[in-house]
Amino acid sequence: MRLVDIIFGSIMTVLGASCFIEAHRVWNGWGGTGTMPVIVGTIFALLSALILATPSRALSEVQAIDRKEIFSVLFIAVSFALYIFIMNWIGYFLSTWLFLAVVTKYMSRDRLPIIIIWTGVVAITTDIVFREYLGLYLPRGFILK
Amino acid sequence: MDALTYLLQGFSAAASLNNLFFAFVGCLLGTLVGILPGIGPTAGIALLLPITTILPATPAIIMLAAIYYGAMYGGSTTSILMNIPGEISSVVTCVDGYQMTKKGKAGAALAISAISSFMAGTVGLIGLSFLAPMIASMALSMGPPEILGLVIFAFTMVVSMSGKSILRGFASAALGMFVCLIGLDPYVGASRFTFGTTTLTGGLDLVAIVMGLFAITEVFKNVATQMKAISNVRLPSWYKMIKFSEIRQCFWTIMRSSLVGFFVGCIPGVTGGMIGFMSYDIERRVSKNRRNFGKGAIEGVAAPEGANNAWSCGSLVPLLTLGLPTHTAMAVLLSGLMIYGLQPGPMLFQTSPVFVWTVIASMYLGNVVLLILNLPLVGMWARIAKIPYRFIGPMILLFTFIGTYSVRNNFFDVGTALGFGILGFIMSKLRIPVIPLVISIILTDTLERSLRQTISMGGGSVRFILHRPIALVFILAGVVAMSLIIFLRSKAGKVEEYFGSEQ
Repeated sequence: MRLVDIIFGSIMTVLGASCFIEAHRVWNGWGGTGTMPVIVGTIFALLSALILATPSRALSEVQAIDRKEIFSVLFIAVSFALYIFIMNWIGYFLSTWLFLAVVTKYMSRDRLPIIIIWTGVVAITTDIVFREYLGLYLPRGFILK
Repeated sequence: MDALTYLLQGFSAAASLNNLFFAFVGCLLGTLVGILPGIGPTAGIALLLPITTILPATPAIIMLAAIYYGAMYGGSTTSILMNIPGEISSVVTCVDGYQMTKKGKAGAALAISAISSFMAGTVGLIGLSFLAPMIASMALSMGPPEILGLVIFAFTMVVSMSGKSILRGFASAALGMFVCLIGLDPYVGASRFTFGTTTLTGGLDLVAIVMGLFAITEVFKNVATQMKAISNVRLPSWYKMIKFSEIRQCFWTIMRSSLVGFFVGCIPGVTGGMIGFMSYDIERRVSKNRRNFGKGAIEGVAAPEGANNAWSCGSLVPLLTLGLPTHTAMAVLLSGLMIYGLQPGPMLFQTSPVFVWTVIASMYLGNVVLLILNLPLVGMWARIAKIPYRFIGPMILLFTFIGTYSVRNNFFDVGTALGFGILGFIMSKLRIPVIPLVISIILTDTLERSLRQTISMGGGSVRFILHRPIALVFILAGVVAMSLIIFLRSKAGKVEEYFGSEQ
């Protein structure tokens, strides 16, 4: 049995067990709040049994991933997470400008001044269009308020 | 006076040069707002609703109908071009629409989307005009057991959309069901999997999940492969982007999805996402081009787009005859129509025939204007796919943020989108299809409601479903279809490559 099958089967088992625990916590009879968790838990239990019983069939094809790909995805994901995090402090416009500039610079070989101007234009345009014209609420930030 | 006479009266009230101008403006504004990634039709209509209040009743209704059609069409444009579903009903359009864009056929995808929407909208409106009162009474006989049967039948889609491994498809679907358990129980409001926090009480937002699984995952995949542009293929002029043979190829697809969309749309409680997947699944089974589904089949765009538009018309049946708005965009449209005196209910066609037929005639006009307006614009939209990815990629992330944040003004939803984006990327590497996950998220809420209502109706047992023939037929058909697919696949000893590497 391969490691990936064990991990995958274990995830299914854990999810199934958590469904049964939650069903037990909220159980108020058949047709009540716990009904659906019992059904989902049963499906997870059956799936984990099948995955662990037929490992070669379950996850026979896993696409290879190299370090460079992992780094690229992590870079974008962390940048996006930081973007959400700092928006509360510095507001939509500044955080968007910063985020777009960092991500665009990572993805392109364009000169930094061009990127800064382009991303600044996008940030201010979207701010005006979405906030002023379409009336959407976009964070202004604690610091700049 | 019969329906046709009333309809002609409606047209005489609606079809003037002045009103056509407002239909044109409505379609243009609706498309522009609907096309903004993350805004979607519901928000688009809500944002443009105030503009119509400055107009007299008839042009205002016409403009509202045009905005509605424009926004619905705009929503699917982003699905095709950038893999960002404008709303849940256009999720399935992403599957083949985006693949067509990657192959340089964005123009054909957008054109068939407009043509399919127009044809299905027309079929739906004809159905609405002549069958509404009759269908409304039939739709009312579809109670929770019948809807439960329909949902169980719809779950067979999980099997057929599982790609190379049914087991992985089921795992993906089970994960979707698990996600739906988080938050308040839809029936009595008890909390599940909230861990005592208020953040999770509202559950995980479906828009955030879909944005994450489609838009963010796609950015991750494209950044990892250092994509230069979504499509590098040279684009022809807009009128050469779709061939007549392609339209002819999709004719029966559009007709079938129109009928499915319209009749299922008449049933209160059935969602747009479900209709799109159902029509797509039906086409994938009956089409001669079934091998290309998931890889950029033009029928894969025509089917859900047609079904969605017909569903919108079908959902007008319970809206007008029973006052039941079956989806949020329709609820916003209803609120706009009520400003001008529409009082939906069983007597509407008797008490306000002029008004209701003017609304229906306006829908016909909106549908025609949308087609005339959007076909020449197809070339312009299609060129978005040629913009270098280093500019489009960050923009997709930005619009994903705006789209998810604006739903509930909640950073948690944006985090959810990011989390599901990462999950989608991991799933793609493990070759686990994401479509079953989305299908089960869309279906589980309806499944739980109808199951528990059925149990309540049966006094704690589901056995009484045996006395509901329609429900029984749906369930048996679902079980037979699922077993048959599994049996045939295992017997053939090979797999159908519907969603090979792309999912």
